[in-house]
Amino acid sequence: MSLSNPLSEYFVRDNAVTLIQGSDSLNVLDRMVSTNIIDMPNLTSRDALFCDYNGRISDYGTIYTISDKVLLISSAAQHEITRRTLVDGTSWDEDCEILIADNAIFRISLFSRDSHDMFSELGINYHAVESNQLIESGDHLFVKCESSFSERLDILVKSDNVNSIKSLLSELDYVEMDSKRWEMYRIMLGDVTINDALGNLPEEMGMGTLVSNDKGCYPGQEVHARIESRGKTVKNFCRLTGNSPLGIGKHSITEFGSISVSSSISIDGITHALALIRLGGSPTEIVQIDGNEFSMELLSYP
Amino acid sequence: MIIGTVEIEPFQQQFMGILGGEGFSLPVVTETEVVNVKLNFTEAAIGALRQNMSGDEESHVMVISAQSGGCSGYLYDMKIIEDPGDDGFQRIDIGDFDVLVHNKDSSMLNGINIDFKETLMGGGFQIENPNADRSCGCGQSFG
Repeated sequence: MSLSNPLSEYFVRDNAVTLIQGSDSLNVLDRMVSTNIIDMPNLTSRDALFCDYNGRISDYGTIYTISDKVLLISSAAQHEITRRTLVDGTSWDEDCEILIADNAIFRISLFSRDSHDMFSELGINYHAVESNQLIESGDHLFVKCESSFSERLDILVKSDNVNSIKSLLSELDYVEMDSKRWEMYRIMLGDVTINDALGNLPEEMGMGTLVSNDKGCYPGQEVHARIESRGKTVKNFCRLTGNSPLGIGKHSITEFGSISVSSSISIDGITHALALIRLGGSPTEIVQIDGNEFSMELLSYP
Repeated sequence: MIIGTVEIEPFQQQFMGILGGEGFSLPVVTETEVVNVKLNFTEAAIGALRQNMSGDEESHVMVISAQSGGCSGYLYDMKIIEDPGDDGFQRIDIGDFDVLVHNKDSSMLNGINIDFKETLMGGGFQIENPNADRSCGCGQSFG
């Protein structure tokens, strides 16, 4: 199994899906996230961070504007807290209804060696579609998404249609990933999950572009403004690659003090990991962890 | 294999098939603690409210509520509106007029002290909340 040559594969994501409807939906959601979403045009998607009052990430999701409704696809691990905050935070006179859609809509992520082929196989003109623009076909919505190292195509599918989409993808020679292979892809592509981000500052995670310093008050805004004025963070999010296993958790590094590994997977003798590292003032490409050498690349949200 | 070309016409964007059908009839249910609300107003706050009511005391009420937002998680909101009735609200008589608090906000707002400061900078209604673990520097947000 080669890590550097993604095949035509797809994965049915395990996320919490929340439908927010009513004329105040976007206002209610905008007050809760660090990302400015109030200007989102219809039929677009935008990633957004939920932070606590200390400015630390409490959830990470993607917001889709669909006519007068808002779809929030966020982490399964934090869904209870996020939904509770949404419900509690809606004022008595706001037109905003929050519905669970976990079993109604699924997000399928497609990867391919060739993005053009991937889109054209599904009848979508690659050049005519902008990133984060929703394209409707039948009951499905297609979204072109960019990550640090690749492009993918997300399909939002009604539960009734998941099997027919899987059959279609099978006809197109797409293979469904199991969770282990998805984890490998995800880490390889630097795709952050809430397991990596929970409790960390957006700037540390390379997700500073998801903080809108011009949107006014939101939970964590004071801390984010302070970080922006200081202009630097102590830790940096990175991807590690090496030939030795690397366990999740804190490890000591002689040069820098410590590194906190949040995701790690070893397949065919190669380890890929995501971690927060205290870099100090001397960026490096190689780090020694527990006596083993790992190459390191700093990651940031595209 | 090419399945077909997707062409998005404006009229198609009006209908989003993905959000139709069953499965969306599951509202998020959260437990809300309802307590009997007690509010404390200073004389300055009552005076300022009386002035803002400007003769509408019979038909209008003031509603104090909480909503998400602000640096600390929740924001206070105060509105003078036409009396919405008692459905879902607790009514507090503070003399010349009534103040309403919605049941969903009762545990967050119970016991708050409302003052009014007449200063050019940072003046207006000030709320001190004994239920809050923290509050924002501007005083409008709590958590």
